[in-house]
Amino acid sequence: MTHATPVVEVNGLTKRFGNVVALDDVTLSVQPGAITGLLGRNGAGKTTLMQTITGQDFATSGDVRVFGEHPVENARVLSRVSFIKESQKYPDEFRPKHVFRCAPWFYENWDAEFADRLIDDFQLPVNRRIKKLSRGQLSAVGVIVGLAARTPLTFFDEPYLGLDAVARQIFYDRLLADYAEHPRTVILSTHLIDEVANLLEHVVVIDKGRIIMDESAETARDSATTIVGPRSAVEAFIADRTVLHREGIGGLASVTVDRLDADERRDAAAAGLELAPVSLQQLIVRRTNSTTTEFGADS
Amino acid sequence: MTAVSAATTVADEITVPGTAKRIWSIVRLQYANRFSMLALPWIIIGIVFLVNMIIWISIYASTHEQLTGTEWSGATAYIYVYIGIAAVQAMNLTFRFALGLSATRRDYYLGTSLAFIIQAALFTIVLTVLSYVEDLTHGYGISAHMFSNVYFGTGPLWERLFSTFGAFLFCFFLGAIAGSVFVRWQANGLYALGAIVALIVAAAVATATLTGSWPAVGTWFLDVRAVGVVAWLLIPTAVAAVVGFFVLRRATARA
Repeated sequence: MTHATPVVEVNGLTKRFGNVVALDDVTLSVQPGAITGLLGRNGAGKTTLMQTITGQDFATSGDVRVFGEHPVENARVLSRVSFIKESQKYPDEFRPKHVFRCAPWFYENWDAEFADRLIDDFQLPVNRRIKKLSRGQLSAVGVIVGLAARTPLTFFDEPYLGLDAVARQIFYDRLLADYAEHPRTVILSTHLIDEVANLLEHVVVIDKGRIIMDESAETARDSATTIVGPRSAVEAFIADRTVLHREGIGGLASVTVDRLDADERRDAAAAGLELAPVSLQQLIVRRTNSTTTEFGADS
Repeated sequence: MTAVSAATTVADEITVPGTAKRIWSIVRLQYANRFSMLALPWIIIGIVFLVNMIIWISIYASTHEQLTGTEWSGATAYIYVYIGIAAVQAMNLTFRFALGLSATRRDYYLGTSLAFIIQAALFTIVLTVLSYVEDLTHGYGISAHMFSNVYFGTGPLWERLFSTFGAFLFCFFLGAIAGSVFVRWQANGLYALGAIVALIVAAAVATATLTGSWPAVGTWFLDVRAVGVVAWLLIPTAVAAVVGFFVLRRATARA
């Protein structure tokens, strides 16, 4: 397969807020027609990256291209982009119905019927003032806009805050079904990694403003293995490998290492070691040296 | 080229709306909630009018004489202040909402300005009509004036239209520049803007005092009347409109 023109191309992008470096020399390209997960800890730079790609914030240095053009103040680019963010503000006296009345003026592909179905799915009270909505209902407003807008490039930045497990599942299901029918490029930023792992075709991990992983979800999942066995045998096997994580109980050790090839897997089996796959969430936790509780804990 | 995937095709299907349509979308956005844009100011003006009417009638009832001095009424000033505050709020909240709907800052600013100019035109017509109603009824038969006040509601038709419309524009663009400065630099920006305005005013006052020209200033105001003051205010209005545009062009939608 030859490569299509990337939808998003970011080159050497740096963004500083005073002394804080939010994005540090980020280079990234997003291929069209895939759901990409933009994953990372809180404050890693996910939102800043998306705000810069959508022209809502300005790069300190570096180059951003969306559909081959600079996105800042560019209606040709922006009319094909929607960016749904957790922190979206609405005019004071607006109700959800006002939001859904305005959205079609800005999104050529807006599907009003789909929006109505989603309103039912999420049981959103469209006549209640936005200020009076619960956090979950507020998130539903954004999710509905993002789905029904059907823009060629859609960003969801932690779109599910306050949505319960059932509502989140509705979001994932509708996203996947509509994406299958109307293929487009979706970038989903989240820290509920295990929940979305099956949705993602591509994974970008950002940590402290730097991209530390940018590969297909499949490659990512294969990129590490956990080796379990007697401590001495495990230690002998991993002698000169990069260890991502290590834990043990008594004489047993469980160590996560980088990708093993077929020969190495055979060697491990011969040495009486067990090999276990690493979930995407575990992998990212290991790679960003954070604790498990920081991911998925506040769902 | 078979490699072009579905998303590129979807992207190509989208027709980019022309500038006029995009700006009009922002105008419609500003009127999405017609109540606060059109109804609320008149509800409040109506209440102010009723309160005035009660006072006029009670005075008339006790004196049985035509009222005097009500042509200096500042009761309609509220509606001008309202426009200024509405502009600040628009720049703050609808700006972030419009950016969230992928509008450009340029389209947002032009569309919002157009929306408020349309509002100003509508309000000017209504206020002017009401000023003639007061003229024709001789102040409801008791020489009461609220809309036919000396500032915006006297003189020939063009003067009434001009001074009312001009005052609206002044209030809107003053509010718009304050709102733009706020979204760009938050409160610190507003403090700086306030300081700049205060310095300019202080400099003008000092100049008038030091040169002993207060009587001349007074005469000037009497000479040019409201219509002349509004005409001169069009200069700061234009400056605010242009500066506000460039301030907003670099504003972000950060929380």
